[in-house]
Amino acid sequence: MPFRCVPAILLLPLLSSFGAADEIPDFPAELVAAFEAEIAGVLEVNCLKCHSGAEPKGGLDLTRRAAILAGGESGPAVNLAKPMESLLLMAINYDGSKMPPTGQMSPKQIESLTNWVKNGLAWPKDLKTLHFEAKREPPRVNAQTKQHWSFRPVIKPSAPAVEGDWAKSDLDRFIEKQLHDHGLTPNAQAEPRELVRRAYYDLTGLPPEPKVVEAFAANPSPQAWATLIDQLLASPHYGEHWGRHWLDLVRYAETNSYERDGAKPFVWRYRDYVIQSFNNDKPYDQFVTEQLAGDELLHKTPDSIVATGFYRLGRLDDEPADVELAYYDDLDDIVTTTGQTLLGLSINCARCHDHKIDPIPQSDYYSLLAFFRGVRVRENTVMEIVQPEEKTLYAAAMSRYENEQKHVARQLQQLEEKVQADFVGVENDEFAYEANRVRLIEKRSGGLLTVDEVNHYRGLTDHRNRLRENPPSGMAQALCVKEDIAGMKPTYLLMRGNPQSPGDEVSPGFPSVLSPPAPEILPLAEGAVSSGRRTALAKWITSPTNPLAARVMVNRLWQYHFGRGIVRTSSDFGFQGSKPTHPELLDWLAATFVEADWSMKSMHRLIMNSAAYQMSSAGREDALAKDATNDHFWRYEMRRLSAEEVRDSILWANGTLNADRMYGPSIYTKIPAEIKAGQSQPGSGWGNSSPEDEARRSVYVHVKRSLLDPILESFDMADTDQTCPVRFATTQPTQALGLLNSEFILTASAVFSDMLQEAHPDHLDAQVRTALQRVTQRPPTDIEVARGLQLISTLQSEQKMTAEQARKFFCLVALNLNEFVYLD
Amino acid sequence: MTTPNFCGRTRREMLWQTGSGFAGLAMTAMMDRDGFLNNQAIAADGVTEFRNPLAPKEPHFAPKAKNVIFLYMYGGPSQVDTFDYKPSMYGMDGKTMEVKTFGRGGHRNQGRIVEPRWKFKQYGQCGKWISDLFPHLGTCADDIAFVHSMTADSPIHGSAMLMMNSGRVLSGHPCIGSWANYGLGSVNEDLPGFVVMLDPRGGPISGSKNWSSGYMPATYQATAMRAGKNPILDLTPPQELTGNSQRRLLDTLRQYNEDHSASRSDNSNLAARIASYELAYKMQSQAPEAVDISQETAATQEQYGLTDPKSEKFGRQCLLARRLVERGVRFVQIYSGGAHNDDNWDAHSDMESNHNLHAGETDKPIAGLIQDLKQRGLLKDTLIVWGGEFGRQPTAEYATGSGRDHNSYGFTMWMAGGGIKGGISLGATDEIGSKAVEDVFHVRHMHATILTQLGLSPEKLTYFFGGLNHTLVGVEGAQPMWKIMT
Repeated sequence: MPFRCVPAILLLPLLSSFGAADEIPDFPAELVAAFEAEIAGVLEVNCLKCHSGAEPKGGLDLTRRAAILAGGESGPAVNLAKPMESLLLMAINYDGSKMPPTGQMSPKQIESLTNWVKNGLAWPKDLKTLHFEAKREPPRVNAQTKQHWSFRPVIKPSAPAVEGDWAKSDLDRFIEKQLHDHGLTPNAQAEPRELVRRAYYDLTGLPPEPKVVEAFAANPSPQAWATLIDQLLASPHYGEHWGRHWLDLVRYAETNSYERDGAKPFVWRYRDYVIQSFNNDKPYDQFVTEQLAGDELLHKTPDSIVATGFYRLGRLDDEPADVELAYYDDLDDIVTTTGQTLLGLSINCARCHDHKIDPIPQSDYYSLLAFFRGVRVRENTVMEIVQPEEKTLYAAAMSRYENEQKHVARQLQQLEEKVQADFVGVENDEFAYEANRVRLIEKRSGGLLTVDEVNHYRGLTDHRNRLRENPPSGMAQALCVKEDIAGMKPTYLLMRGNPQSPGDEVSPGFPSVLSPPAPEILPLAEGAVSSGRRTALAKWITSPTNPLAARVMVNRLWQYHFGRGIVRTSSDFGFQGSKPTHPELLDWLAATFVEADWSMKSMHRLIMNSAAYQMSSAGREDALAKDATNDHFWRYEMRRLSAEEVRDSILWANGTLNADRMYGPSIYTKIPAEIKAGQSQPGSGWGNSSPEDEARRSVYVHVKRSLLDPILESFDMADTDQTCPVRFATTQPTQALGLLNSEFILTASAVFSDMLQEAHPDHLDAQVRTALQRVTQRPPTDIEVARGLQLISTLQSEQKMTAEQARKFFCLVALNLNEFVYLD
Repeated sequence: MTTPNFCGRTRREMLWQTGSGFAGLAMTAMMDRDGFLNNQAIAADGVTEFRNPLAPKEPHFAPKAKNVIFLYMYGGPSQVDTFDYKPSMYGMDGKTMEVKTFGRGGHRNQGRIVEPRWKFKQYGQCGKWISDLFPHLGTCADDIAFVHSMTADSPIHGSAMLMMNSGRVLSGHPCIGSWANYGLGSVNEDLPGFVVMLDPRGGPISGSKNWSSGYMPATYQATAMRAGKNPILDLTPPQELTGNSQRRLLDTLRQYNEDHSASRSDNSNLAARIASYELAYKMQSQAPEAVDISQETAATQEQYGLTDPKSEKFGRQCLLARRLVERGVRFVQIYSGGAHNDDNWDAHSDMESNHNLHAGETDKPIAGLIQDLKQRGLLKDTLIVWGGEFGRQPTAEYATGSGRDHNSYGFTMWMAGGGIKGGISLGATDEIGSKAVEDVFHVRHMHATILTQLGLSPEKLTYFFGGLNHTLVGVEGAQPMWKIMT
């Protein structure tokens, strides 16, 4: 084991010999020059990362000539008497030990080192140590690192005194003070119509009806504004929009990824739970507790069970090459999501070694993982959550249901039996996975089975799947967490993250840099089915004294309102994250949030009723010159609509958005055949929805990890595999192509056109006016109307289009306006 | 706006605006590359400044290859039946041997040898032994570097595909073509920078995850391209838009948008969006031209096997690949094989029918591609990579038949062009090709080789995400396979 770290004591004799050999002989100038020009670089790139510093690997330090000659644990690295037998040369030639372990270096580099050794290890006379910018030692948990701003307790600061009457609340006083200190002044209040549009999109993800806009524009009083905010917070669409933010953070998707990318059962209940929680203004501490440990609550409810679906939202390789590693990968997915989402810490970086940037030792990673040690991560566990009230009726319904299931299964089986004998080799293995069966059957179409039989099989399969998702009302199942406490094993620190190299045993514990209390894990009660560990974790995270939970969440609320967090890296509050631009404001908000019993709606009210939120987004030369990045919030930031907002707004504009229908199993949009062609079984796992369902809000569109709706994907929907704290907002020509030529947009434009004709029969001027107002939420100017009319008339006269066609393409233009997809 | 400066704004603001709404850190690595800031293209209209995220960027060092064509033999070709000649296996058919294997059928310690089903003969100056599956490709042996000692982490399609494309068995990481475009951008903004062409029988297992940009923006994911009138999704305007009408629409749109931008001139995203429509308009004419192979001579079409129905489909894609790299598309990936089992190289039941089919479809087109690129002086700039997600076992999978199970302990890939030595072979498997035993390489080394040839340092090409600086080659790092590089 030549390159294992050796205990320091073994190194002592080696170190003591350095003095004598330290004298560097004189070398010819050209050899020294070659060292400087080549050798030093080769060593730096290939070797010094490990063989330098206080504890070089294998005890071998390659930064000093004497140390190379003295060598390490395996003996001298270079033998000047017999250079070709030097361990160093053998290692780089992969003869015996293999260095560097990342792969052999280039022949040219090997040749350079060989010549260097052969020529006596030339070294500049005055060079004591080859300089190497060693990677910083990971920061330790100590009194100093505990003082990092986000690790300190939240202490509510008092708002600074400011002059004038701009500030509407303490929140504004923090903003105004900082602006003042930097010689800046806040922007004027935005136009009333801009404000209504901003508030609607911000709280519901949908635009306001023109009459709402005009009513507010006629009376834009602070009272009218406050009332508007209250109305929007009471709207069920609020939960759909803000729930989606949360779904981004918990890597919400409805399938497993990998070969079969199978659907997760009842996963939509988790989505509905999130929407309802926001709508009910569920206190954030309760919201978090239910997701982490809703199954362990004293008074658990169906909702709190559904909440634990949190553990089951990630990818799941149902056929992993390394089962043990897959188990730890799945736990890692939970540690990563929990750490980043709830604590703003990249604890996941400490899986294989101490965190390189933050004071999070590797043992902290495994102590956190220990809370989840019992979780059955390798399967999509489900549980009954509702028991029927009317037992006899239910029993009858259930028996009918089961009979139907059996009937369908029998019919499927009969058809399968006709072909099973025909299966060769791998087909038998494949048949074990339901997802493959339709394909195996289809292959026999026109052969062992008639076309009708194959169609029947397909229909039966759909029917079976529908039955599974729709058991008789009265009983319901949910995707949820389950533990295996009988088989619960101790947790070990895994050396280099390798499950085959367990180190010390660890017990559940919180990140040490936060000086946390010991977790309170209650002894197992009689008949307990889980360990209680997750309850202890939830209790600590949601404790009012936890320094991170409230700070992280109010920062997220701020980010979704203002386009960026007070801390821009909203899932990284560690050393590497950006510093808060307004540290006192952040702490004030965090403390206020806890005081308000973690009520998110109260924070929305606080933020949206501020003067800061209501500022105009307009650019001002003086302010741009001083603070182009708006670090001090002298204006409100424009933003592009999110993927869901773009699609929902298009459907809203043409009047087809089915916004009233909420909840339930997800729906399918029309995905073009070209996209489905990328699947190994084109169309598999994607169904058809009725036109009414298809027109539902995007939050209800089935999230299939390997098949995404192109409109949502190109407008930067959240990554489905990992927690997504901030959406991208890219601008790319494929978005333009999708909004000009796709079947989706052309259909939407045609419907929009028909709607205008119906609203204002043969009154073109009013049609154009209405169309523009429905995409911008303001009355258009006469010039804008004239421009639309001009286009319609040109298309008719010059391109010989019918009036209907020309109007449709005008609608297409309206749905492509920058003003449509950007908010002031 | 022609001066490539920050327009009086800080770098951080630039960063903020280019990825607006995006926390910024993730793009730092990219933004720090000087090339990015010096290459702000002027949009198609010649006026509007458009910061194309795919604008060309300077490599880390002088590249040996400008473009990559990855010929993906989906399903896993058998090494001992193709390029990894095992003379001692002949005559061993049916013999039971102790050999450790791991495939979809699990771990086994012994198996029934399936003798290679094809004869081998020597080709070229280098005398490379190549099986009768590849009579055309054999003639290119002197241009090819074979690596017989590839290994991967998984012998299961789903995770192995992800490994070969993204370096990880976990779903959600960017693919190598995404990394190439992130690192270098694309020199032709009228075409996508990363193109994937699929087998007409279907996509590969895990579908779009194989060309996804993972945690990077969608800008870097592959665009699926097809031959024919509508090569890219949504590229073709509706038929009703005859003559000049789409131009009329876009002009009107532009007037509205310019009015809107006038009072918001500090928001460069608005200008970028205006420009993106002009770019889309240009793509509509450029992309069909790029895929119009009727411009090619009959001789060229014959060279790619277009006259033979068997090789016509893959040949067309190879020819398309040449036309795309000629036009500056950075990374092209073509799938040979789609869907499941014998629709791709996944020969679980019958080696002969399976490999005859897939080699027959691809042999001539690939040889034609190499020869054509060479003839045009493009081969030196174009790196060709051939291989699947793993190889196959020396033994039979089932009690009867010649089918072989998956094998990630050892398999063959080859590379050609773009700074790769020709006529050499590197690494070796044991006597029956069951595992790599000499100069053992991992998929990471293959990825490191591709990036290095493109002028990118595998360990310096990083993307910050989720608290970590990610690289394609992972925390372990990897040296390129120097021995096959010029």
